[in-house]
Amino acid sequence: MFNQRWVGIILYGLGICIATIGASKLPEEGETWSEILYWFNDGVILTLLGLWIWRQSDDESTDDETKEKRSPLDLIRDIQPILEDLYRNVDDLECYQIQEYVKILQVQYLLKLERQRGLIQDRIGLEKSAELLIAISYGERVINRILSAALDGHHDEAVECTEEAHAAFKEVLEMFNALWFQEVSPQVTKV
Amino acid sequence: MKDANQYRELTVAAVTLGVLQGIILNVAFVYAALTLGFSIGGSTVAAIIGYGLLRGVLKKGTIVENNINQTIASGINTAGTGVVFTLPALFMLDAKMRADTGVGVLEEEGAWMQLLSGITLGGIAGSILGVVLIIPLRKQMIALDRLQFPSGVAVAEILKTGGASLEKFRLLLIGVAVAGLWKLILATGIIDRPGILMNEELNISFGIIPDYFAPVLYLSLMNVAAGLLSGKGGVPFFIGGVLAWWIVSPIAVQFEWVVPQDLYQLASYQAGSIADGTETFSLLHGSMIRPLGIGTLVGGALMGVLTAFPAIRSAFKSLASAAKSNSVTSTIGGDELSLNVVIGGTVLAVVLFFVASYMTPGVSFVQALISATVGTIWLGVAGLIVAQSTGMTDISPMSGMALISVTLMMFLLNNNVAAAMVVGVAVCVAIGQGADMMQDLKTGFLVGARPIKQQMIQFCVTWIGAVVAIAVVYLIWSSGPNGANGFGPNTAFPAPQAGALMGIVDGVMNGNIPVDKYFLGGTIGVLLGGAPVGGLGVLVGLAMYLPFSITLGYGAGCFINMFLIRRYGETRVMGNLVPLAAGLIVGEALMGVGYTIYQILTDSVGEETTMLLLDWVGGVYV
Repeated sequence: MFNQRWVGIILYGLGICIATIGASKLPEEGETWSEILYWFNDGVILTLLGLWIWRQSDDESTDDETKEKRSPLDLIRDIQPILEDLYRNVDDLECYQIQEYVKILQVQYLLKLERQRGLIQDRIGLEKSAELLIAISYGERVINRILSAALDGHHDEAVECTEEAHAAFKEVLEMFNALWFQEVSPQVTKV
Repeated sequence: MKDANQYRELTVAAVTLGVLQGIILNVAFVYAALTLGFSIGGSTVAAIIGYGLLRGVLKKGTIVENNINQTIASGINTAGTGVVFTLPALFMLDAKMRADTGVGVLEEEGAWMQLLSGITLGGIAGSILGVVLIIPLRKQMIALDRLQFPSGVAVAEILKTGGASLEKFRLLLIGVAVAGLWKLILATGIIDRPGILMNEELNISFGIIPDYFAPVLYLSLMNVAAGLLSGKGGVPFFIGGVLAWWIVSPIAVQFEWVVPQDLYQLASYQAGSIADGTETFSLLHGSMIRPLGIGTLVGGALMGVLTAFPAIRSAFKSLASAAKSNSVTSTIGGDELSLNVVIGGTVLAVVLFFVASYMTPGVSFVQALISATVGTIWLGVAGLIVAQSTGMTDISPMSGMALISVTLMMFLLNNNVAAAMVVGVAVCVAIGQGADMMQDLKTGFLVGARPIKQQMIQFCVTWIGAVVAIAVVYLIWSSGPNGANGFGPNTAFPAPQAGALMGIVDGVMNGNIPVDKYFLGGTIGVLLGGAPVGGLGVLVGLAMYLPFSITLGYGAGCFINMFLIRRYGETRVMGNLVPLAAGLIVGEALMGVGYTIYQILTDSVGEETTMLLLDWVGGVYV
């Protein structure tokens, strides 16, 4: 699998190089195309072949996203208790304490979720993952707003936004549960 | 607008300050662009002034309120950039044609006011379309693709400065100081050495590397900082530069497809070899690589739309359903203007576009219809390209898009230069507006601003920038002898960008269009866009379009980021790198603006410097 993927990438890269070289020569005076247009055509064919092999191969991604041991679903589940805790205590917390909570949420969960969006797309497809990622992004923006409000010393806004973020991520978890397992079930049946 | 206990966001103070700053920056930067050939985004300046006035003077400003101020100011300012890159070319072309043949762009002198009214309407249409276009794209680029928008990140860091941790604040200040000082040293030219270091570029030929490898490094820390923020995601941009300058270029020279007289001008450290650009560079970049890059950009962006179509459809669905589901069953959604506004705004802009074209002398009803329809579609594509380029690298290929717009329209409108320019102005204003709006929305996302408020206010004030800039350009033109020729060669305002566009229009009128490069480049862009690597076509195309000196510096930033993350871990590195890189961007931008104003006031900029800056400016509009 690894070899097939790399063969595809190498052929693709080589094809792009040849096509670009073929495309770069200026045509002779009065001509529209240069006389080495066939280089370009050959490059395009090679690129398409490489792309086909690349896409055919199972993408055993070695990206950062796989270094994170928790799946996106785990991350969304794990974020709930922290948000729940913040939600229950926010009235009694000082602004600087709220800031600390938000920084934990951002660094330990949201940043990692951002890195794993490729996994989400691979698992449930572009269209459905888009719904999910837009929902996560909504919640993340609200969390960013909590931080801004806390930095501004505006406790009321931080409290209000905490409620909103708490509700938003509950909704995200529901969406995740529905989409994540819905997509995986056919494979489970196959096994 | 709000009572005292509410969190201040969209306030009268923020709007007033934003509009005032926007107009002032617009006038200043139009003036600067006509003099120096480049313009600068005003977000950073506006954010800092806003911080001082809203928080310091009024004592009640908030982070998101300042975000509104900076959104408005930069939006109004950016519209000027679109105008100043295109409209002066029309005036200059008219003067040239009158001098050469006795007949100008318009046969009747009196038709000029009608044309200017059309251009103003076109500019307003472009402003509206630029904002409308960004509404659905926000979800795609910020929520789904998570593009970096380095300047947007930098401005967010500025906005949060007051309440941020001391450590981050210190890093930000270090970045500002280092980049500001470095920019000052470079801009004043005190360390310049002819042939080795000139005009912010370092000759790295080491006496042996031939010119066709483009061994020149742009010494902008802002450029490196954009790479630092992009990291691994920006590497394809570097690869595009390598493809163009380390593979295609040497082969083209070895096979004698281009035959420059001197291949080792840089290696011999001749005075002026960097400042003027070598003959090899001009031949390779001007006639082969750059036009191919423009085609690749367009093809890559179109393919990107196709491959991401399911996600884009989902983003549109989300807009459409937001109003229905909002506040009844769902917390999520309803945070931006609805699909109805997108549709309504588009229709309004297309109608304005049509009227603007129809008002242009010599344009028939059918031609105006074609112009409005094709112009709008092209504008969508160009807006997407510029927003993606800005999102991934912080560089906006506006002049390339202006070139295609004018070429396309001249082809559709029987070489009617005036009509093509109406569309050109509209497209440039729109794409500039769109790219700027996207940066501001990224900033807004990072500080938690409500996008609906940013979009709403931008929608209301967006027209101001185009109107102000057109008026300023016209005034400066009229300030010349006999009420014309106020800018152009041998005047105090050389208007180099417009001069370049004028040359291209001249070429198009003579049938000199690199059709093969656009088409073949477009195909390569489609092939790159088909790869399972986000934004590959746009990044490679952009790298071919720009001088390699910019790509090298940016690539260095990407590799430093990757090295540091590998060594120290992402969390630790990004926590420190973001404020530092933001500081570098802000420091250089501030010093750039300050030094530009100083230059204008002291009138010390020669035409030679101007031409150079035109070609080699990074992090701004090129």
